[in-house]
Amino acid sequence: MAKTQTVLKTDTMTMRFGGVTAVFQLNLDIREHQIVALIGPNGAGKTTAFNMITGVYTPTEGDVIYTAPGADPVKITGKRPSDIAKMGIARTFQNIRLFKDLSVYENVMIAKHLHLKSNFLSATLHLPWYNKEQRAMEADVEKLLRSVDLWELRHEKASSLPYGKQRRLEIVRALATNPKILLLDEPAAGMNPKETEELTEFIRQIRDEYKLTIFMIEHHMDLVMEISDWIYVLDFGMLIAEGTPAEIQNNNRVIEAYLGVDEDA
Amino acid sequence: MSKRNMILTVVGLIVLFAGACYAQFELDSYLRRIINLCLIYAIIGLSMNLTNGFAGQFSLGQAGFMALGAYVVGVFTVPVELRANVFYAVPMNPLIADIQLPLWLALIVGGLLAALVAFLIGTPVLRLRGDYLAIATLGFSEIIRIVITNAQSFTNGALGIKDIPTINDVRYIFLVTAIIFLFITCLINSSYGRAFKAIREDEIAAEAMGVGLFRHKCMAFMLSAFFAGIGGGLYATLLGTVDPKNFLFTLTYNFLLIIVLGGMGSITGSMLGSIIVTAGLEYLRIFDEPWEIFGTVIPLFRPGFRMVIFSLLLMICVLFWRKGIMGTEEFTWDKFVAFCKNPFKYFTRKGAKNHG
Repeated sequence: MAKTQTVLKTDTMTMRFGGVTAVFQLNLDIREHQIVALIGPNGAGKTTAFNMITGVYTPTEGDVIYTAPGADPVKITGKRPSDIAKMGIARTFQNIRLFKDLSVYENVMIAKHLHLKSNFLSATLHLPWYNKEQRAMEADVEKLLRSVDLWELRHEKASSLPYGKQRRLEIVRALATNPKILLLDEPAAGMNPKETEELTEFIRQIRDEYKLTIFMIEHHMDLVMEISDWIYVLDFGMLIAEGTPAEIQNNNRVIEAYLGVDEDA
Repeated sequence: MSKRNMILTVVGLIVLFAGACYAQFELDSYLRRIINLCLIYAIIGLSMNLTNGFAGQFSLGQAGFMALGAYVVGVFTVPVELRANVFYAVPMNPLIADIQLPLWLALIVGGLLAALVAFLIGTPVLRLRGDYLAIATLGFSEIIRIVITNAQSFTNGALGIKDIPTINDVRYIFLVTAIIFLFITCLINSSYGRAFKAIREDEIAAEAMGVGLFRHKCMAFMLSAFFAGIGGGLYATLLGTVDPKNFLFTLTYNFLLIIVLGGMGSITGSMLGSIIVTAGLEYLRIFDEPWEIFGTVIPLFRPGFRMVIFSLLLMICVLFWRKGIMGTEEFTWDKFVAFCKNPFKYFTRKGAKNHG
């Protein structure tokens, strides 16, 4: 398929924890409006790669380069997570990290805070320009929550939602930051086949509706093969293959990494 | 806020202010003093709740910030002609010897000084988490006290400052308290308040959602210091004297107690906690004197015994009612109206929701 413009690139990105190399010289090239998957066995360094891109870790070596639409490429290596979120890279977490004691509504409203221009004094005194911003935020959040059928549950505590809805809420919360790139860390973890199918449809839908680029870690191969435009395979911190789903399915190294080498052959 | 709630709030404030006027003219000065102390402790408790309850940063520096506010009021409101008498050991530094401020200005200057110091302390300290932050802030609060003790030409050192014009005026202190409570309520209900709560709930997620950790923690810490400074200033005018020993780190535990009892992360809880702690410490004084029952004196009750009773009550509260009286809930007019309409239904509905 036709390649679009690069939005996110990593250049020999490496992460070492003491003597352990979690990720070694990883080169990723993520193109606009695509759904890209990062797969690999447990402990391959997938989440570490996510953490470096979103600023939780600073890579030991190498760079992360982000190109916002219509802007020049910028290095985001070592920037703070909050600054990276402001630039348009949002994420979800492998083990859901919602603001558990806050309501569904507040969870999503918090994600709108980063674009607030009023300072704390005008916010506290509820001055007209803050109220205007607040109303715009409320309208956005209402639209988002309605689009995923969470509007009726907006006053519930986030922790009281069923598991599938919590996953969905986490994605919506990330969407509320108006991202250009959405990083999903195992969005289908713990879901049954039917829920996984719904999620597949949901990911496609948000990609088209919000003009997103999606980069995700996932273990459900059905989901990955069906939805991805491009797949990267990581094993022991190294990139062992990349390609379209069809290419990956027939790649011997990938099969070996997942199933082990057949010693009799 | 709906129109009805707005009206109810205004009416509520007017009723409370009328109560303050009544207290001012009808009650004796001992009771007025207790009411004033309740209000002042509520301000400082609330300021501590801002960092500990809402932003989730376990800080124990309140006594230090209070001391700064109290000393600014102490140093700058003592009438110039009385100063030679107060600073009899070491004369007052000529830089400030002739500056006298009205109380309201001294309160604000004290708050601002506390906020400035909070900023300087916060820059390194707010990178710490949990227990480490608590230890560091506790240490800085002691440092503030020791600096005050040693800056004798400014603060009169260990001798303290006396002859501070006192106000035992319930109305004045009530108004300051009301303004601070309204301000913090509005802050918590704004986007910044939500950001504070996000940091409390999950720092990593908050940061990933674009909430700048350091900026928001620092903001909460400085505001907390600012209001603690104002509370400290009022405390100085209530006592009429300040002394470094008033601001030992044990003072901070009073406020910790208030917010744990009232509810970490509840504004109305801070007020309730403050009333219970202040009034409790006053009225449990009956245990400080020996009791005589049927001619036999019970020797158990002696000075200081009220603290034992108080500690027991606290332990019971923390064991069985961990979230405090209010938890993170607030008193709201909606709940109040629902309760008035049908008290029985209110509790059954609430019970059903909690169990469901």
